[in-house]
Amino acid sequence: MLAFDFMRHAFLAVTLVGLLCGVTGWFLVLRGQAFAGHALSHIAFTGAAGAMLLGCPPLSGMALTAALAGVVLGWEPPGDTARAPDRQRGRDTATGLLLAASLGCGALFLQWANAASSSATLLLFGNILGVDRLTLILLCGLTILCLGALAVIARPLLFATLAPDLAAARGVALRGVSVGFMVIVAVSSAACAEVTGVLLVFSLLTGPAATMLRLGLSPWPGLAGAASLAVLLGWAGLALSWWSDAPVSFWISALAALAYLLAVAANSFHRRFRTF
Amino acid sequence: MSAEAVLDLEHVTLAHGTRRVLEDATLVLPPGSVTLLRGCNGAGKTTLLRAMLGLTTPNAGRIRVLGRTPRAARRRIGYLPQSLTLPAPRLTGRALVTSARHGARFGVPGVGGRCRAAVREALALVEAENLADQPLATLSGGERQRIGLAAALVDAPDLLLLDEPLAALDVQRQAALTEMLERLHQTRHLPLVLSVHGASPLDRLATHEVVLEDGHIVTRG
Repeated sequence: MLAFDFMRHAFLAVTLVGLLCGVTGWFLVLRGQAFAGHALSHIAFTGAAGAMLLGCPPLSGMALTAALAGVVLGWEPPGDTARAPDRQRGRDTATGLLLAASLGCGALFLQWANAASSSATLLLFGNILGVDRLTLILLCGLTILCLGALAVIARPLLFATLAPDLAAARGVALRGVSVGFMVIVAVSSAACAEVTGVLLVFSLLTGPAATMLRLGLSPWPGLAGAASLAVLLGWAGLALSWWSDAPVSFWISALAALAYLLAVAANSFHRRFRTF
Repeated sequence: MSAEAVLDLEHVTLAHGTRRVLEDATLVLPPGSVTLLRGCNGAGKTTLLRAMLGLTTPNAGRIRVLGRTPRAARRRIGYLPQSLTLPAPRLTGRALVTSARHGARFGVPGVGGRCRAAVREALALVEAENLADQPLATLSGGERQRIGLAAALVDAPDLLLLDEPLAALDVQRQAALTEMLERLHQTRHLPLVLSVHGASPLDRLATHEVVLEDGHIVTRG
């Protein structure tokens, strides 16, 4: 399997995507923004379609639209953080509307570009087996950039996530942290979607992170676990796809769901065991 | 203990939305005091506490907290809101307190020895060491309140603001928290500003009382 260049490139690509999605996904799920992550990767699809219409590289359109959407979705309304449930509802509604509008635009752009079915399939499901050296270098650069930016804002981001009212009282700029984080997620989604497709990005963003949070791991083990699990899922998906001929995205999304179910079962077993 | 006045209001007018809750108020709370902010619902107690933290800007007048502007002073203030919003209930109290220790500074969350020691000390102060490694979702209201108090204390503040700290607690836990706050004040000489609704077990700690009524302040020493 590893005798082929395209497979070695694919393994390297899912390693980078797994690291990036595992770490950003942990914060995303912790903040209850999985839906926003889903929307961002689909909005990136619209950006790619728009870029194709204009004759630009799809990645440029993906990164630009996703980053703009990240600013919009991360913009925290001012006011009392105690009204968090109301704000969450409002944020989800806005995310849903933005997602629907952007998907509609994406379909229109693809039609205008006369590139409907094959390009849409490529953008939605990616082409992990077609990753070349240049794409790998670009992906590596974006991974370092996004993880570096996340490392800078990690403390206030975690504090603002765990106790927004305390963080605001201590001078953490909730809006700045939120926008900064969503832009990082947007750029990560765009970079990974170019390689793996928007559907797979969402699996890797939410599956490993939700699994680790379900296990109740504290921040450091949780982050390390989410990144490791995302990388393992990527490797397992590639290997199983090689042997079974089923798509990589099927295996990765199925394994991500299975990992989460196992975590739920383990958690439930642990709780029952403790009561005896 | 800080030698500056805990709070210095000079002709302050504060609004909550379109409603004025404080009109041309002037007040000085001396160093080391324990002050009860008393008032009915909507009287502006929380708005005044938020103004002390720089989260609400006065429409007129000047506010000084510990001799500084609220924004400059807030890193020296520990704060416990009325209801602690906890969007990540699967994480533990220790994760929350650790995050409160360094969360206002940029960088990667630390796991260094000094940080761990400060977290242990804050948890010990509020007798919450045995709760620290349980998920926040499994803790009762009173237990979460203690974790929240540890988070407020973890950075060794010079002033503690507590917004209706007894509101969600039963009588037994109200007495326990009152004793804990009394001990904190006595051993650490920590000034406290506590908002309360009506008569409260906290009354016996108070050296000052500020009643908010129809946008005006009535002070009793």
